[in-house]
Order: sequence, then structure tokens, then C-alpha cells
Amino acid sequence: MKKALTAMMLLAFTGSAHAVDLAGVEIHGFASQGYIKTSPDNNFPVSNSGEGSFNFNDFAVNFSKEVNPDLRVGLQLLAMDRGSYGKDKITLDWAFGDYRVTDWLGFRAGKIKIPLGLYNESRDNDAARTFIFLPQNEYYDYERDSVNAITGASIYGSIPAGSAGTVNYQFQVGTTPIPLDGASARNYSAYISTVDAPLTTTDVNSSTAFVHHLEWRTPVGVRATFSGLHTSFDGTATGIYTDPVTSATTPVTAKWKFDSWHRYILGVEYLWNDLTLATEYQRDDYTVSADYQNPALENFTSRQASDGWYVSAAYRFTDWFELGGYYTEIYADRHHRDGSTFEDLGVGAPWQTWQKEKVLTLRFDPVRNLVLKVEGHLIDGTWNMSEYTDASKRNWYLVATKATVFF
Amino acid sequence: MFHPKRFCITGTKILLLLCLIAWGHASAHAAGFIVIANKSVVESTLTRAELQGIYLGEKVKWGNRKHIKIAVLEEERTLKEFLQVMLGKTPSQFDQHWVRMVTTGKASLPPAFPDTQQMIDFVAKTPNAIGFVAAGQPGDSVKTIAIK
Repeated sequence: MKKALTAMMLLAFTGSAHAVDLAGVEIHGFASQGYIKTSPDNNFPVSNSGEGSFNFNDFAVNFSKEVNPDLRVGLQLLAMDRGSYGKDKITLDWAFGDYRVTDWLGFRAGKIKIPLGLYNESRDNDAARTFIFLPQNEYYDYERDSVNAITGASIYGSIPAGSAGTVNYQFQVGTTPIPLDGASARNYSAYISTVDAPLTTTDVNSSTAFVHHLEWRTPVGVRATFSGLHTSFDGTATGIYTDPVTSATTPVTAKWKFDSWHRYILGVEYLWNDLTLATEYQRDDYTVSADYQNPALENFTSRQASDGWYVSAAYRFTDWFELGGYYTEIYADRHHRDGSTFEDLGVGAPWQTWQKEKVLTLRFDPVRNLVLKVEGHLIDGTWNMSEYTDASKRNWYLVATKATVFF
Repeated sequence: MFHPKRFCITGTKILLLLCLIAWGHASAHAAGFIVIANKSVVESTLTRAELQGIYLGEKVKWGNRKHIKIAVLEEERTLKEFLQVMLGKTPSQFDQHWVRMVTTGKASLPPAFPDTQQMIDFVAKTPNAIGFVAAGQPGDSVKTIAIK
């Protein structure tokens, strides 16, 4: 399958610099290869980034056809590698039919990208933004596989608002597929694992999810969005419990649930000539529970309330050079931003409940359809690294480069 | 402590900034381009907001419900001015918008033409097409759309 994807991309690259059209089927795609290095003890989001890694790529090719002027169909195949997950396995990124009745009403059905915030729909393609890593509270790499797309249906449209601009809306209903071998499932395992009983998710079931997205685009370069995702999902996990005193081992099975998950994101982007400013705020509320089929482990139900925000700026100095940066803060518990809850429970240091990042990016567009980037992060805290509970450095760095060809 | 004078100075600064932003967007209306359309298009005028919607892939239907076919002129000077005045975007911002559109399956990439004559020929022969060229006489094969 990987060879098939490569062959399709090579076929596409031999055509026009913009797109390939075969019997009315339009083909686009991108190939993006990077290198990432983080502080040795903090591997994120590539599992072996501490030692420096090339397991950092994204490839996609999409096909679309206009069946008639009102009806389109298409799909995108995506493969990515982040070390211990992704592994360049080809997945169906999106695939849907799109019937546009009028400007203010259209319908889509299939696997549809989820419009969360300013950039979630387009986050796969590195060429569509300034930064290599979008701010991790709103665009968390470990959640990319679960909030990428919804399998179901949507209605959408564009409503003129006179001199105030245009309001675009999308409402979606369906389920969010959560692959067992993906980063999300692994991340959920981390929530219910303990030091003595590391667990692996063996089954995930998603309940019906609802997504709403409003975008107000003004005539003066301001774009404001308000998005929400509402869902629940549950599953099972298994592992081995090792008694810390006797070292005796017993099997563990756990039923876990993330219930009543409500995510809201508010975003504003402003374009003024070559300057792009953006800010977003996201808050999540949900209940995590675990029912362990082992008397040595205590069942729990915990209400979670996290949030985070960022401000970013990017300026394009020339046709081929852009400089950008952002500052972001993420908190596991927005009611105790100092991490005191975590400390009181004795499960870690306060700085493991937040992540504060300063990011600087250089983007180069040396020739058409080629993008090169270099990016540096200075980070305080490790909340996003819950998969790796042994992350031992509070203050750490991340440096990444990426080359992307798109058509 | 609340200082009325400081509050007024801050308010004035914000007002001036907003005026500057509005002026920056409004002052660019002395256009060196014209918007053209296929003669099958019933509209003779469009608002700037409507044209923005068309070139961002949001407004996809003419008033007679026919599907709009947009075309882009690659000639650098005209493209830059059209995008800045009508969409408030630079060419790179416009390119990234359409990369996002095709990467998410929302739309087909609009055809792009390196020179004015190719653009006029495409718009003339494509029903429901709209495009833009440098100011001048586009000829009788297409109609001119006034922007309000």
C-alpha cells in the first residue's frame, strides 16, 4: 500500500505544478519530511526525538471529481510517522460526498474533516501554515487521529452579512473513529495507568459526536471562529500489575470511560498586508473513570477541566521568507493552574500539569510548491507528554526542520 | 486607580488605530484591474463582499443558481493588487487559503493563467466564469462586472 501511495504521488508530480487532472479527477497532495530533536529526556511528539529522529513525516494524496456542478466526491489517503505511532501506515484521512444546494446550504456525508478552531481542518498540510507545530493545546499531536475527522454527516453554508462580511457555519453529527494503534488510544491508556500497572487500550467505542463551527469573516481582514465538540467514548485496557512490595504480578483488565466531553474553542485571526496575527482559547471539560478488574487497584472517577491559549504573529518579509512566533500556555487543571492538585495527590510535580512554550519559526518558499522550515521551542512543563510519565526535565527544548512539496 | 485622563488617552489611541486599519483597507480602492465575466452571467455588479466570497470559495452560485467558475490571473502586479484590494490578502495568503481548500476536499483549485489574453479567452468560452485582468479594454468577448 505504501508503494501504491508513492506511485500515485510520483504520477501526480509528473503533471502540472498545480494539480493533475485525469479524466476529470483532480489530484493533489503533499510529501513532508522532517527532522526533530528534543532534550534527551523529553520525547515529544516523536517517540525517539530525544536522540534526534527522522521518524517525522506526513504524506498525502487526494482525488476529487465534480460529478455535476452541485455534487463533488473525493478522498484523501494519509500516511505519517511519529516514531512509535503512525509508522507511515496509510489511512483514510477524509472521504465524502458534497452536495451544495445553494450558497447558504450544503450537505456532506462520509468521513469529514472536523472544523475545530482556526486551523484544525487543514492541520495535516505543513504548507498551509507558518509553523511546523501548531499550538499544542488547540492542535495536540496526540489527538490528531481522533479529532481529525468525523464519520457521519454535516450541513454547512455561507451567509452574507452585508457590510459586516460573511458568516460561515458547519454542523456535524457522527462518530469520531479512534484507531487502537494511534496516539489518542495510547494517550487514554496513560490516564488510567499507574506506576505499578501500565495498561494498553484494547478496545475503543465512540458515542455519537456533535460538532458546531461558526466563522465570521469581516471585510477588514478579521476572521473569528467559535467551535465546539461534544462526545463520549469508552473502552477496555489490559496490563500487568506488579506488587511494589512482593513483586508478584497479576493481570489487570480495566473498563474506562471519557464521558460528557465538551470542548470549546474561540479564535481570532487578523491579516494586514504581510502580517498575520492570531489567538485562540480552548477549554475542555470531561469525566474520566476507570473500573479495574483487580482488587489491588482503586477505581476512580475524576472530573477534568483543562484549558489553554496562545497568541501568534507571522510576517512575510519577501516572497520567499516568513518569520513567525507564538507563545502558548496549557493547563491540565484550570482551577488550580499552580499544579497544587497534582502535588497534593502525590502523583507528580506541579510543572507536570502545565506546558508553556515560546516558539520561533523561519519559513522559506525558495521555489513554487516547496516549503522549508526551521523551528525552535523553549518549553516549561510537560503536561502534553502524558504518554511518557517519566519525562524528567521541567525546562526543555524542541528543534525541528521540515521540507514539504505540495501540488 | 481609575484615571479619566489616562482612560481618554488610551481610548483615543485605540480609535486612531482602528481608523488607521480602516483607512488601510479602504484607501486601496483606486484599482488597476477590472473584473470580467462570461456573457452568460446575469449579474453586472457585485459588492466587494460578494467578490471576496467568490474568490474564497464561499459564494459558489450566481443569482440564477448557476455554478460560478473562478479563474486567477498569475501576472504578478495585477494579481497582487486584485488580492490586496478585493480580498485583503497577499498572494501567499491566497495560495495558502486554496491549499487548505483542496487539502480538505472542499473545492477544486481554480485555473490560473499567466497572461491577460489567456484569461480573457477562458472566461469568454466558459459559461458562468469570472476573472480579472489589468485595467483596459478587455474586448467584446466578455462582460465587465462593476464592483460596488
